[in-house]
Amino acid sequence: MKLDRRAFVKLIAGGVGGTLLSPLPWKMADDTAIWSQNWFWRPSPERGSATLVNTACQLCPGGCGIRVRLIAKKNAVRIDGNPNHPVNQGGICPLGASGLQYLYGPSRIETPLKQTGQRGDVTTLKPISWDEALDILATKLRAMRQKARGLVCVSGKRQGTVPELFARFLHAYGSPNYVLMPAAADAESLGMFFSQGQSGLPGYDLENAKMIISFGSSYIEGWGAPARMQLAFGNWRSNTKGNRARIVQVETRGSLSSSKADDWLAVTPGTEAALALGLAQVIVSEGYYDRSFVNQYSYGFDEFKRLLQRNYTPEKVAAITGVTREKISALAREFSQTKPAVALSGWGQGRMQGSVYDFLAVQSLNGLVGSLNKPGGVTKKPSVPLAPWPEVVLDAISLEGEKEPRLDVGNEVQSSFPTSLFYNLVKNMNQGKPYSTQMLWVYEANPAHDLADVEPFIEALSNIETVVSFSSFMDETTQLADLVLPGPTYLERLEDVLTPPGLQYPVFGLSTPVLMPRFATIHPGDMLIRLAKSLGGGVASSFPWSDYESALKQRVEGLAQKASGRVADEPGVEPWKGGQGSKLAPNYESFDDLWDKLVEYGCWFDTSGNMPAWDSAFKTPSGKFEFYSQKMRQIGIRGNDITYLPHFEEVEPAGDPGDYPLLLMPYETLIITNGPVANPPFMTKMLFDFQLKGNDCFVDINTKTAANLGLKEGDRVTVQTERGSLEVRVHVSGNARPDVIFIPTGLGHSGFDPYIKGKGVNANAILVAQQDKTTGLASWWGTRVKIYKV
Amino acid sequence: MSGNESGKIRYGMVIDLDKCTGCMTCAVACQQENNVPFREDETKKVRSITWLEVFYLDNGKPYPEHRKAYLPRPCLQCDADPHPPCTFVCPVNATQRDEETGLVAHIPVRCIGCRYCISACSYHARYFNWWDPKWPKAMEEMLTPDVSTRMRGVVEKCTFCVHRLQLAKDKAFVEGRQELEEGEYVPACVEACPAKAMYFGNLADSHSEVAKLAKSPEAFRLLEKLGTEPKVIYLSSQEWIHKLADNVV
Repeated sequence: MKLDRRAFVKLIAGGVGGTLLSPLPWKMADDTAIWSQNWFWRPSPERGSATLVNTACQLCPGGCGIRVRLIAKKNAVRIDGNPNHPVNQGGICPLGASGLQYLYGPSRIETPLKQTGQRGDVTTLKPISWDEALDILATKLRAMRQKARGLVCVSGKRQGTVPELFARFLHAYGSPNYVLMPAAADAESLGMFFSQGQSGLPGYDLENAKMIISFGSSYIEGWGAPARMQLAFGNWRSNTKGNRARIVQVETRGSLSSSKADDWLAVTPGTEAALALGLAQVIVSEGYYDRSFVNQYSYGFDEFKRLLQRNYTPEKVAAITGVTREKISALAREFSQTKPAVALSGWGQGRMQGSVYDFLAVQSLNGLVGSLNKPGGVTKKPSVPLAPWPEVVLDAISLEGEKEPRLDVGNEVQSSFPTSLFYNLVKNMNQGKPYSTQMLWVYEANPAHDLADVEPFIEALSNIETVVSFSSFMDETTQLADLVLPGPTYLERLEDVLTPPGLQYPVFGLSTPVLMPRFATIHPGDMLIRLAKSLGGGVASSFPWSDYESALKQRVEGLAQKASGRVADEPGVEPWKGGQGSKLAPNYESFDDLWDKLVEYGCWFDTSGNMPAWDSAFKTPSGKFEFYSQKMRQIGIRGNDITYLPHFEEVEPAGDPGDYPLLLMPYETLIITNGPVANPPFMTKMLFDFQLKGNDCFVDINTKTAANLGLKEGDRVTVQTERGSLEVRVHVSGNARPDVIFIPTGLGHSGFDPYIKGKGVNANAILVAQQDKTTGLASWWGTRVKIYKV
Repeated sequence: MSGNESGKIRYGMVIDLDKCTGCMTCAVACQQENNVPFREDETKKVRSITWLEVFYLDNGKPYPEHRKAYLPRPCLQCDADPHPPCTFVCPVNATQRDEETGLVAHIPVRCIGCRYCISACSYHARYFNWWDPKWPKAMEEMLTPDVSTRMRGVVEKCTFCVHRLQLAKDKAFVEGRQELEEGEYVPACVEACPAKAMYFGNLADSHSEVAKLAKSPEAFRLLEKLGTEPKVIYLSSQEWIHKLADNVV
């Protein structure tokens, strides 16, 4: 057929006419109208008047004050920082800002659950009533009372009245096995015990410091109290206020903390402490140390000096750390001459215990420059002056229980440590020695995912008859539980939030329920009181309160009696500004007044003006700060002279270098939370596509190393250690040191909701935690690894 | 804003990249404030809606000279005369600049989803809804009524939390005031920043903090050579960041 002009015009005209007669244009117009006007299928948020409620965040120990915006007094629609709170001053971290995604999240547990089938099968975790759940637990506890020591409680929360109630319950019941999840705080409190003769944790007066050297601490990526560190960093970097501080980061990885420092010293993996000792050597040999402190208030300086001269000269330290001699000398001079200056310790975010000697090395450096208990230096984190509870009532069984060996103690000397040693617990639970574990409680912790070198813990569970989880979320540990007793989330419950890690002034935050609990959950404090009462005897007498609130109030009375301290009722407070001896006039008259104000404003605080003087600060045998620890000797630690002095212990990462030629180092970032909760959708969305792509996460590998191995960006590889292997993808980056593979922790969840489940891999599964023989503390900063294309 | 000689208002933001720690709180606060939807997989970044996106920058040098920085990028609210690139191309007047405030508004209900504005924007600040937003049922309770949810087929972007301006104006009106004080209207990202690295205010008011900071020798804007006149100004003492800002991103 021939298509002439006439036919063509006819065809076009016919086509246009046909289309107009067909429903197509009308359908499209209609669609456009619907699309642009009538959106009935997408949610319309409920309207109502807005109110702001102050409370305290509990998603990490950071202790921030938060405000929750409520619509119609029932829908929480926003969390932001409380401007009155001294710790975060209106700022907030990404996790805190995502808090509502936990409150309303799909992985909430709505009722008590009982495992009716095989442990680990989530489908057979069946809802039961609270009466039944608590009855099951009470019956089991009654039955095993004669073997009370077989009850173990693992708490991820290290302080506050609820963890204290758990510890109290175990004490009254007759078990010595209240154990904390591992953290740098374990090494810190042990180090304070050895060098200052008292248990306690360091509090850094960072707001007043002019120079900060961080030995491996991710100071803006989650170390200490995260929002406080962001605020302090902003102030250090302030252009307008003229107080720009100098920041030096000692770290192997090119992290944000490294990049944002004025100086980044990229040390050989695991040698941060050696550098601290190198600086100490220069300061001592050049005579830049604080003479009044060293001569009058320290013990064992000569021994320390000899050790420094022998082992830590700039030449030797340069060989260990890879930092040049000139750099070491220059930095030491600068650190000793800038006042005030402070050195930080605690690897990464502070989740790794680390070596007590690493802490001692850094603390000694602070001691040498006179920064202990001085503004701009480091002091003992002050305690909050809470009133004590009545003594625990001990019966025949609990008196026996006090004498039982702790399951987290691995040798004779460790029994006098003021520290939990979690990895000993794992080992002893696995071996059933010195006795077996009948029941495990897990509170505010998710060890089945978050514990570095996690496999032995999961294996240990098979020896335990009953695993009880108090979690509000379906985390990995809860999936392995036999009984789940869900508590309300932090936005639905009353609880105290004490001074966060690394802070130099005392804070008492009060978390109050901002809305009615969404589910029939029971506050763990109330649960324990109820449980104790049903057990009767000494356990019941140890819990004389009608409910958790009255137990908490009894302790808060201590604040009402204190002559200094305020409720945070105005913005812009700076408790570190007043200098030593400064006091705050209380803005409350009575306990009731204080309580009402705490509920309204969410926070009580005092100044940092109570740092103890050098002549009274140290409770060691010599009454001085001990470079040479007599305490270690006293409690029976045996060794040579070096044992009692801060020194650098070279740790050989696990694995045969022949089989595993590279080093695997885990890293933490603020945008991936490391439990007990899993990353919320708000944060996961912000991961770069070279961190997470689909369900694959990436390891960072140095450009040259990648080239040597024939790997390019995005390649799928297996990383294998002696613990096992994981499949990941490769991100080639200048962040990474040659021959070191960096893997993020916090991903690879098998529990929780579809927004996080199955994304990435859990690095903890292939890390090897290496325990120090004497102290039992574990490190896992590096594991030998091999990597090959899938 | 008070103290403004000309009476002109040009709301703008200053972000100090030296203070920025890369914590991404700004981006999270933004999602929460503006009911920005999320999906199970958000790793296809061209499909992912982030009104405030955080860009990754590095100096390209090998270890250990390598340095990185994060750069938060809200809508830059271009002040180009007579109009920003995006509003000029909109066939249905769904996006326009309010000349009283300098805010570039976008009305999703008016948008027909042609995505011309997305192509026109030099900063990837505009996003298209490829799917209807969907929240787990319980999470619908945490949606704020201040910002309506969007739907499949429309474009959305950062508004500098213009609903907060409305709230602040209403409050001022009730209190019998004509003008807002500095700090009364602040977007969610600026308010949430824990390092206090973000500043917000009237750039046209020479007494405002943002106007002073904008004159800093460390100040720069993204792709300045395009003449889009962004009202988001960055500060950095790092030369490599200045260089990157005018080349890629």
